[in-house]
Parts: sequence; structure tokens; C-alpha cells
Amino acid sequence: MSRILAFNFALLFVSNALGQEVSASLDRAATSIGESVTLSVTCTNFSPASQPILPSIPGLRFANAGTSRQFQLANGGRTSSYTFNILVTPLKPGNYTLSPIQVRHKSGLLKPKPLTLRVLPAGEQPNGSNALSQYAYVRLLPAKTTAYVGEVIPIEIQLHYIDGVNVQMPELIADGFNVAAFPKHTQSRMQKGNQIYQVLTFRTAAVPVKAGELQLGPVKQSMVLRVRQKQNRRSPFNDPFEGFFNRYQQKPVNLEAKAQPITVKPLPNATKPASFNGAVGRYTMQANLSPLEVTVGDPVTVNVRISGQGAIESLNLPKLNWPGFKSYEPSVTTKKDNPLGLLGSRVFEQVVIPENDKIAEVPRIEFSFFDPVTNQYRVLAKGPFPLKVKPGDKPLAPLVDSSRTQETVEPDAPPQTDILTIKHHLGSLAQATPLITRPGFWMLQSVPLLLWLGALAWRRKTNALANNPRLRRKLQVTERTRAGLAKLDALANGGEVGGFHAELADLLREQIGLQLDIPAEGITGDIVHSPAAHKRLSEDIRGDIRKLFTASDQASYAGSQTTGEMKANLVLLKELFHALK
Amino acid sequence: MNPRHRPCQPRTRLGQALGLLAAVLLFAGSSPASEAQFEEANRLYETGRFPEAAALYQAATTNGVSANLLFNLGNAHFKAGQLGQAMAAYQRSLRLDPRNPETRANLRFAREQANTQPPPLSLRQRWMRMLSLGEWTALASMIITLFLLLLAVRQLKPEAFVGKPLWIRLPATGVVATALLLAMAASDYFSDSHAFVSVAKATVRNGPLEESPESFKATDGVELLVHDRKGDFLEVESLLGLKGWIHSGDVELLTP
Repeated sequence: MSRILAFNFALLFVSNALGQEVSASLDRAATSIGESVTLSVTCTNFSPASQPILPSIPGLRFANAGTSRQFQLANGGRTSSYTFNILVTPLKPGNYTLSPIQVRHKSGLLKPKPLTLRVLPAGEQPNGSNALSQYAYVRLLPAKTTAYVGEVIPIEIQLHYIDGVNVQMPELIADGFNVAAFPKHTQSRMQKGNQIYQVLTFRTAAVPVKAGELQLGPVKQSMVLRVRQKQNRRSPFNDPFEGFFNRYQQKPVNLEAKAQPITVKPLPNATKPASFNGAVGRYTMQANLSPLEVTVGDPVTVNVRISGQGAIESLNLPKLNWPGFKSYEPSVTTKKDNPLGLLGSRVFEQVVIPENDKIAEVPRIEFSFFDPVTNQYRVLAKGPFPLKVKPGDKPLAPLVDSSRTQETVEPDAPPQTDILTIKHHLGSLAQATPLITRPGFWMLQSVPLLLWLGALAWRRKTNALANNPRLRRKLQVTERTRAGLAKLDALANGGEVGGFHAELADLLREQIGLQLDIPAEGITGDIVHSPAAHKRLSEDIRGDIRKLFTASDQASYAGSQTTGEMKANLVLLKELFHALK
Repeated sequence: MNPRHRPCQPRTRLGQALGLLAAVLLFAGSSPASEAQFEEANRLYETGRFPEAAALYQAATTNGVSANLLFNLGNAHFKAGQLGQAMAAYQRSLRLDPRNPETRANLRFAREQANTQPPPLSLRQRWMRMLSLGEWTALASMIITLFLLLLAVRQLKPEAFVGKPLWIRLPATGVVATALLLAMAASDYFSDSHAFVSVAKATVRNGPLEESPESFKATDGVELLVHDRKGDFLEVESLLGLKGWIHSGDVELLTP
């Protein structure tokens, strides 16, 4: 383990051999008597052998406030820093220069840049705004202060701060300019006076849209500063742990950079080419078409690529409305070669259709722009391109312009000079939502589906009955029994003994025939003695059957029976049927 | 009450209910309130009070829409100088009655006044838009219903279909074809994310915030394609390929 650690330290030492330096900073540039400031001496990429050697300055007292160490991995490299925190307590007012501060290094003594400290009399405070501006400020840096209308002005907005969080995007007020979006910012460090600042750089581009003396800015940006709290103690014995346990205060601030005057010159009119449509910058053009041999009515694709430097995304091609050709809207693709879109290319693909076979070429394509470097217009041209057009089968209908490609136009219709007047019939109203999205439509649409499913179920049931005679017989007997029992009730009430017992015997035969799976005709009370009856019917049921057949026979021979007796037989019959189920 | 009639009564009621449901859901007809608003709006239009007429036509659309109502709404907006809203109303009218020559003529004229071009349409889109989505739906519904009824009849009277396989195969092919066409028409309808700029000059920004830098300006009537929505902002693309974010209050969406 110790070998691995030694190896790592050796590696660290070797990798840090380059970029070894010393820097010093004060946490603020002004203070008052008795208020300590912190001096930080940072050794980058090396560990000093001893404490820094501080100058002896009358009126200032130095006290060690501890050390700290940091490692940072960035861009594939490793950076280490060793910081000595020294508490500086002023004893007299005045302006002090903290120099020389020296740190021992193997190559000799290293010295950071001198620092200055302004000490005010006790009780006086440095100006508030100036104090805040020591911690953070914003700068607006346009690349040029004179430009033409339509010319791109690269802009840099720099936020400098010592320590802070929650940095918001800058807001650039730019009336009279079109401003591009801010791509991702870059980060760096910078020393200014006593302080080391973090620098966030936001780049964008502004395009002036009118001539005159315009104002670019101001820039507003908000963030939360982390400010070290002052030690407001007059005791010379300050907190020895102050360097370890720094106390910070968070202060939200709104920073502003003042507006910059920009002189915007108009584009010269006298020499403006006819094909100029507002492009400003430096461009080149390539153009080609395919195919070179077509039939009347076949599409030909004209491909125009404009590359260069300027507001690439706002480039437009002049309309290619050539006589004898029907033209469509071009499709446009933009390729940006830098994040701000100031460098790149824009490709226009336009489809044109030759309308007759007299056409021998595609006319010249012109693109013009104003070059702000040479202060003159330039015209780029390609073509004419030879094109062989063969006659087609059908003549094409003449079309007025590309806007009418979607809508049929009467060839002889006079040009429309106003809209056609209103309708006087409301017509049938419908819901604004399409029919297909309404639940009611789907409910109605399910009706034929349900009809089909119903028919399908009916067909299945019919087929099942046709293929199962026993089931069919069972259904018939059930229906016959239901009707027969109702009839028996009526016959019993009417005292019709003969009819009652004839019906009773019939029903009994139907049920026994079904149960024993034999024909109903000819069944008598003796059936109970058959092997099938012994096998399928219980003793009680067989007894009831015999009883009912006997009663029926007796009544038939005797010819008289009371209603009560018939009702009793009917009850017995129902109980029997119930038992058979 | 005759007991024999009892089983028939629920069936009759069910049939009446289905008929009523069909009438209410599919054929809304014209309500007296809408008729009155329409007539009054026409009167305002003819006396030159176009903004009031547009407001009244708009109010009438709450009870339902018709191609004629939207056509008149477009006319009132056009006469009131609101090109974007006029074009949106004409376009909505064409969605209900796509072959109406008068609506097409007025939309074309409004486009000329706004100096804009119609968006390029593919051959499929042009073909699908020859019928409205309602017409495609009715066609598909009719063929599917006919097919299902044929299937039901085949169950009830199978002997009538013996030796006639085309009686089922042809409608089945029709069902598949119209269902596919309906799906394509619905996809075209619901994916049509056009919007029309409805203010004199709208600012299209680089981001979905009021503070975002300006990308470009779009004038009344300019047609934009909507790609996305974030809060009150819509991500749009002009027909020239310019992209940006526009406040939703500055445009009239074809499909709200």
C-alpha cells in the first residue's frame, strides 16, 4: 500500500512539474481600522517547503489563519493548489502595498504580484456600490461599434465574480437589433488587482435592422454573491480558526453593464443590384440541377448552396419564377459551422417543372449580397444550365403561380378582386369534433356488430339442437309439461275427470320416456318393473309413478272423482316431476 | 293491457332510443338560437359592421358548426382586416366541405392579400383531402355496416350464400380498404398542426420566454407549422424553414 501511495505522489509530482506558480489575493481591497482582511497565498502545482515570507509593514499585523489544499481534474490534467490564509489586521489608516510576499521553491524564491490595501479610519465604511462591484461586475463587449444594416455584430458579455452561485442568463436589451440565442457559455479565471475573478463569457450576435445611432444594451444579469463576513473586532487576538471555518453571507445582486453606442449605416441604394434581397456578409454560391434530360411535366431539382460568413439562417434565395416553368416552394436546410450560426451554409432545393418542350435551358440563378469589408455589393451567378425537354403525352394546364398548385383554378376565370360574398343559409350544424372521435358514433357502429353476434349465437344454438335429438326432445317435453300442467289445473277446477286423467297419463308418459330414453307411446304403470326403470329411477319415484297410473286407470274405469282427489293427484304429479329433474 | 304485447314493448322502446340517439349524435340539425344569431350576423355584415358580425358568427359556433357558418365567419374576419383569423376560418370550413369552390376561392384570395404561399402538400394529402374526415367516416361506416349485416344474414339464411363466396369477399375487401383510408384520413386530419398568425406583427423568439431574443417577425396571415408547446409558447416553423417560439395568443390554431 505504501508503495502505491509513494507511486501516486511521484506521479503527481511529475505531472505537476509544469505550471508551478504563486498567486496572492485579498478578500477585499478596502477596510477600516480593526477590521481584518484575509490574504490568501496560493501555490499552484507544488507544495511549499515552508510558510510564505511576509513583508514587515508598519501599521499592518499578520497572523497565520491556517492552510487548505485542493485538487482539481480538468481537461485531462490534474491541478493541485496549496493555500496559506493569513489574517491582516490594519492598525493605522492609509494606503498599503503588500510586497514582497515570497514563497520558497526548489528553483528559488517565487513572488506573486504586489497587492494594495486601503485602510480607512475606524468606523468609516467603503462606499457600498463600489464594495459590491469589487465582488462582481458585467461587461458588454461588442466586436465593432460601426456596422451596416443587416451586418452581424458578434457580442461578448463577460460576468466577473469572486465567489457566487445561481448565476442567471444575461438579458441584453437591444432595440433595433435582432439578437441570436446564447449558446453555452465558457468559463475562465482572471486576476485583477488584489483579486482572482471567475469569468463567465456569453457570446451572441446582433443584427441591426435599422440605420442610425443605436444603443446596444444595457445588459442585466442577476446572481447570488458569496461574501466573506467581516471580523468586526478590534482585538489583536483574532480567531485562530478563521481560515478553516470561514463564514459567508449570500447576497443576491442585480448587475448591469451600460449600453454601448453603435453607429448603423444604411446600405447604399445607388449600386444595389436587382437581385439583392437583404443578405449582408461574405458568401460563395454553388448551383446544379438534376436531371438534365426530362419530359414535359417531369420535375427538375435545382440545388443552390450558399456558404460563407454572415446571418446564415436569414438568407433567402430570390424567387425562381421563370416563364415556361412551374415552380414550387423551395425546401431549405441550414448547416451552422459555429454555435452562433455566423459561419455555415444554407441549401435551397427547388423543384421546377418545364411546361413545354421548347425550353432548352434553365435560366441563370443570381444571388447578391453586400460585403461590409469592401463596402460594396457583389453578385454571384450560376448558369444558365442546358436542359433537354422531350414532349410529353398530355399538355399541362397553365398555372398562374405556385400558390395555386393546391387549388383548382378555372382557366378562363377572371382575376378575383374581392372575396365572394356571404352565404344566407346556415346549413346543417354539426359538432365541431369529428364524428370519429365521438363515443356516440362508436355506440351506433356497434349495433350491426351486435346484430351479427346475435345471429351468430342463434346459428350456434340452432346447429346444436339439430345435432342433438335428446336435447331437442328435452326442450319439447319441457314445453309440453309447462302447457300440460296449466291445462290439468283448469281441468281439475272444471271437474272434467276423463280429460284430466288422459292428460295426466300423457304427461307422465312423456316424462318417463325422456328419463328412460324410450318412446313415450305405450308406457303403462308396468314400466316401473323394467330393468331400465330399476337402474335409473329410485324406489320412491317408481312408487309415485305406479300410484299415479293406478289412480288414472281407476278414474277412467269408475268415471267419477272429486276435484279434491284430482288436485291431490296433480300435486303428486308436480312433486314427481320435480324429483325427476 | 294485452299480455301478448308485453314482450314486444321493450324492443320497440330500444329501437326508438337507438333512432333518437342516432339523430342526436349524427345529425345535429340547426338550432333556432344559431339560426337567429346567423341571421343577425348576416345583417351586421351587410351593414358593414364586420367585427360585430365576426363576434356573432363566432358565438353561433358554440351550438355547432357548418361550412357556411365558418365561411361567413372567414368573410367577416377578412373584411375586418383580420387575415390570419379569416384564413383559419376558411380552412376549417374546407375541412367540413373540402370541394367548395367559393371557400377555396376566398382562401386563395386571402392568401394573396397576406402575400403568403400555401404549404406544400404531398400527393397522398391532396388525395385524402378530396373528402372531409366526416365523409371518409360515413363511407367507412356504411361499408362496415353493410358487411356486418351481410354476415348476420348469412347466419340466418346460410342457404342463400351457398356457391356465392364473392358476396362476402368483395365487401370484406371494401371494409379493409375503407378502414385503411379512414385511418390515413384521420392521421392527416389530427396531425395537421397548422397555425395562422393572427396579429399584425408577431415576434417569433429563439426560446419559449418573453425574454428570449427575437428570431424573426411574422405578419398577419403567415402560415406556420406547430411542432411543440411549452407553457404559453408554441414552437413553430415557417414555410421558409425559419424556426422559433411564438406566443400562443398571436396565432390561430387550425386544430385547437
